[in-house]
Amino acid sequence: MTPPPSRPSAIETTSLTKRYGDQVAVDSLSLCVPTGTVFGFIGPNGAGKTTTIRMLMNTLRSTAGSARLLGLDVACHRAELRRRIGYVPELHFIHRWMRVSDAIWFCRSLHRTWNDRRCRELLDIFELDPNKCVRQLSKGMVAKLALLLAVAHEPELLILDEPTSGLDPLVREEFLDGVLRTVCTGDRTVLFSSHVMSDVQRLADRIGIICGGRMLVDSRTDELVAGTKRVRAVVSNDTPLERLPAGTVWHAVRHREWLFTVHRFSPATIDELRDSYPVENLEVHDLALEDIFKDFIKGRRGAA
Amino acid sequence: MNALLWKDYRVNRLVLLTGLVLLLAPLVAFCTLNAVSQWRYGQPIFPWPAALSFASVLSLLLSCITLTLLGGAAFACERCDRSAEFLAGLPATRPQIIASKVVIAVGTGLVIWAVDLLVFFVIVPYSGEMGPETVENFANFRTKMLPMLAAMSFSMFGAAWFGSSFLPSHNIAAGLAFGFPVLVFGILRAVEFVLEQREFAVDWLPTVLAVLGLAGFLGGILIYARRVEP
Repeated sequence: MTPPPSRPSAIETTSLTKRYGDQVAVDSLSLCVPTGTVFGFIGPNGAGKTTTIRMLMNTLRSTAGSARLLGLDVACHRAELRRRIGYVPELHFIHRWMRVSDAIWFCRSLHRTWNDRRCRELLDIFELDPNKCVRQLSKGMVAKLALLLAVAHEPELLILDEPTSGLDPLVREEFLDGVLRTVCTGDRTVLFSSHVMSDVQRLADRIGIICGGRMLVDSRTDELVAGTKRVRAVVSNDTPLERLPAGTVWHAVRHREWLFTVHRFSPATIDELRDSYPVENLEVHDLALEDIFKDFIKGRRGAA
Repeated sequence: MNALLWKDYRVNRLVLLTGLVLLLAPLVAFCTLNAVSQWRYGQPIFPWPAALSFASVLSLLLSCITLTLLGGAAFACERCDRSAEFLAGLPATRPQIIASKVVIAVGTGLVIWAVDLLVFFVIVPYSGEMGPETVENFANFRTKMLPMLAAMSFSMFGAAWFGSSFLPSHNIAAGLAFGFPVLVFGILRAVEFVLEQREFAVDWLPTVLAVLGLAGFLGGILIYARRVEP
């Protein structure tokens, strides 16, 4: 019996690197996002998210490595990929003199697969006035227009670079609802970067944490949240900590109290600690995604 | 392609309007002055052929400003206000983007020159009796001024276009291009001094400017076509 064909990756990078002189913005990033995945790309400011996205969009030349979107090399199939991808950047630079209807007509003229019905639906959902100039729109409305323009041609892959940054919670909610209603269906793939962990946890079924240009973790959201635990151990005397438990991403020692954040936590972690040290008390806590993110970043910075 | 042409027209609308004013202002000014003088005093201030030929030469000279602004704005204007990043996310190919900008910039240049040459070579001879001085000026323009003006316009446009293909601001690209013919003339004068060859700079200036203008234009296209960044 022949095995079922494996789903091709929508996004695949191999040792993707970007250097600015001695500064490494993205360091040998290898990423694989399967088709149909909503991938949350998170990291602190200056982590390399936007640089990575710009290299994926081929608006920034990589120093080394390669990137493929929908099976095509980004450097060789620029126009073809633009037809099949929707892109919403962090800052929206739609010509400010364009009216909403002009911007729609302009993008429609360049996309063969433009869906007028979907476009009208989105205009209604987002309550965008076609006669208004872009410069008259609020930041939230421009973000919605950018999303409309990015999805009305029904892209196979949608890339959102911090699309909700600077938006108030209400507009952010409406924007994310728009993404959920229009894109996160079927076989569409979404990559979005964000600082808002609640958004990421709500949308993403896979999460990548990047820091200092390096991917720290790339995991399913449920596995990451369920499998990362905070372990608090109190030892009986001032025993020195000699070896960190397997999977520790961050730790702190405060006299007799030891704190560990352990990725891919298992009962063996507890056994390991109990066997190696005179543990008086040991507690295991669940962590929210925000705490997991912070601990990964703190751990990475501590190690650096 | 129509969408790109419309967008480029709209982006350059102010420069195109400026170009129209600079094209028509000398002609309208001289014609108005002569017409008012004819009406009030029974004769024009300048003979009509002299007034029209001078106006069209002035208009051609002013077209250098329009063409330099258009060349500078070609790519860098949208890079400066970052609307190029919006275009970079859309499936317009680089050749399409370049073609649209060439049509707007080169088309405008051709229209300006066509109008001025039409005035000079078609309307001026029919506008009245040309005195011996006007005939001499006319011949002088045809053989010396016209090639020089054409080369200067094209070199300024080419330099601005070249700068626009990679510089972050259209103002820098246009600003540098305005000084370009002066720089080239200075270099030619230096060569003239070294070679001890009289009139070398003046003789060679149109040719050198035209070649450099063409090189700038083609170089700008090549740089923008190969560039990854918007």
